[in-house]
Amino acid sequence: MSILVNRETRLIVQGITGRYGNFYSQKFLDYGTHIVAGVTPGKGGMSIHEIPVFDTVAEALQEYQADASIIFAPGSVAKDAILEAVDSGIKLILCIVDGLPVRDVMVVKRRLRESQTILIGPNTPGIITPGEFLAGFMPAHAFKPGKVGIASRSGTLTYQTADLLCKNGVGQSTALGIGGDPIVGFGFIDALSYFEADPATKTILLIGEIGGIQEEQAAAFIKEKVTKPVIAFIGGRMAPPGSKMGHAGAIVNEGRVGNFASKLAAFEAVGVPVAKLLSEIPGLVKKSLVKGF
Amino acid sequence: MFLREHQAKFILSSFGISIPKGHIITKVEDICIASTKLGKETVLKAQVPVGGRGKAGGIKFASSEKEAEECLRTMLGSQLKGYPVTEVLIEETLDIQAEYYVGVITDTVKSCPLVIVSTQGGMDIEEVARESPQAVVRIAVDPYFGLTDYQTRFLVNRAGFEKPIKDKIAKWLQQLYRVYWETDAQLVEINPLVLTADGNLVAADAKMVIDDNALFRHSLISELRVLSEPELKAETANINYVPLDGEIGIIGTGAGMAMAIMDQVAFFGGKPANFMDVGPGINNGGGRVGLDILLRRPELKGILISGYSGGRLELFASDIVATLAEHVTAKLPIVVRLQGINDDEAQEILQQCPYENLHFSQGFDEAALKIVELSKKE
Repeated sequence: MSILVNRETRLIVQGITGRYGNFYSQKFLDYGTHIVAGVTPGKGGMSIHEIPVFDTVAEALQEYQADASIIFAPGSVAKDAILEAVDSGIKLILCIVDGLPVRDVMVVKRRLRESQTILIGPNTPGIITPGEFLAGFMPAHAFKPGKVGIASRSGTLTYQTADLLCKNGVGQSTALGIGGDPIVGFGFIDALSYFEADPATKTILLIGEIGGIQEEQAAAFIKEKVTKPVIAFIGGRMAPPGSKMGHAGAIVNEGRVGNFASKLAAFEAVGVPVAKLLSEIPGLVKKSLVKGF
Repeated sequence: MFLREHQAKFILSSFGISIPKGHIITKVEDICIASTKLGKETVLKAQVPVGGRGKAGGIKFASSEKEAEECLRTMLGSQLKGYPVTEVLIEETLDIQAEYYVGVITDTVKSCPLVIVSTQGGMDIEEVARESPQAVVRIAVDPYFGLTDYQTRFLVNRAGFEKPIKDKIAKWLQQLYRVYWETDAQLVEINPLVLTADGNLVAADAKMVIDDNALFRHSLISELRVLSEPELKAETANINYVPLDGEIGIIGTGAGMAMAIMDQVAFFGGKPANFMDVGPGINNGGGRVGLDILLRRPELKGILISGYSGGRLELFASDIVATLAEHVTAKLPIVVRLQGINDDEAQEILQQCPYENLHFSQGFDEAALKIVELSKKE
């Protein structure tokens, strides 16, 4: 078991003919991911790695069934690509692309409210269910099947942590990056509720960082709804404060500060251990696996 | 992109919002041109792209041309909150009857625009918001439909504006929202919004932050940007660089990774000299530009290059070797730790590097510990 994706998941790749789309599609195929079609406007009729390419998502779906789409289109046109996938009824969208204007993301999220589609990202490193399905930048050899569900705000820390866990004999049920942009679709709370419902996940690992209030919200959600053990890491204790958002920035947050101390306090208050160093994570996870089950 | 005050005001005025009469001055001699148009009483404002300027002494009032000239002499060429003052905005003084606050900001939690209004504008608006939250009125806007007229009526009534000024404020809010939406701003703030003795509204100070990701559709605004040389280099190479005051240079593959490395270095007693994420540019020479920027900082006592990347590490490794070859006089310790796609190949390339003070490390924590220890011997 796993969350969101597994060996049955049928994927389309939007932007498959581009440099990244092309390169990473091969990586996904090598891993065993089932790619049914690619989409690039103006390139319909081609094929890449023996995958048929269509001009539009709708045309691809006339011939193939798909559950998920991964988007490699550039940031300036990514909004259009996401809306196209939503309107075609795709259930899961992975927006790998960074550089989306925030205004576009606001409009996309508004559209998602009226649909059944889940958007991961923008600026996500992707998702992996080890041994079954990979769609993203993750180096496959850092992951192996197991019992820990990982949701992370950082791509590289996800790989690093999974690698550390594997070296300590701990595998993952599913690992995903929720994306590094100020506004993203699928967040920590969504990840927590999926992992809570997934029988294969025994411990949940959240890799957070400074900024925003997702960690604080996650802590509140854990207290109410999560019975499984949760471990956390928070990056950015030493990071310089972000760009000044004027007085409005202080007003809008209404005291929800989103700095290292507030996140640490929020997790500790609900009994979630926070690793000070990455190398502490495997120990904390192992302890939770023994204690919890 | 944080706009300087005069740039923000220029954009606001192009949307029909009134601003004070003023001039930008870069040389003290130009004072005479400005003061003939503005009168005796003037206000001088250092143009730096950062908030909290008033409290840091970046705003001065002058009651004669001579006084203005003296102010200019001390301001131009000085440093304010870490930025050199190269431009001063000199403006007419306003006959102030009241100071209000209006702003539009992106609420990243609710993922929608938020409009904020208060009758109690000025430098202490944050305290007002904390101590009497009801005096600062806010409303979330549906990005599909924009700010509606009934919402502006609600805002001005709830904030406590009275006729006839409240109808004017309502109109201003609509204009402000248009500025926010059409320029892809993340923040547009007028504080104070001044009601003058003769009953006019004027944007006495303005702050705007434009979404960097949206600059591709705002060519005029992106031309206003002034970047320092390292900033410009970093941007061209698609890497993210924030210089700090420490001694240990940091290069990470990914923003989260770079932050975690900084934390790790600090945990072992070192002081990070920067934040640098070369992740997005790793396949396109980002490592070369990034390392070059750090090697040009003589105060550094060590550099840590650490990453777990989904990018092609063999290209990154070649960039490191090539950059070190260009810096023949460099001899500070450098620790490299790379894992990820093609890491074996990357390691082979690095092993061939003739740089004498190059060290390798396997683990994430060990690499941080190693650079801290090596830097202490420097």
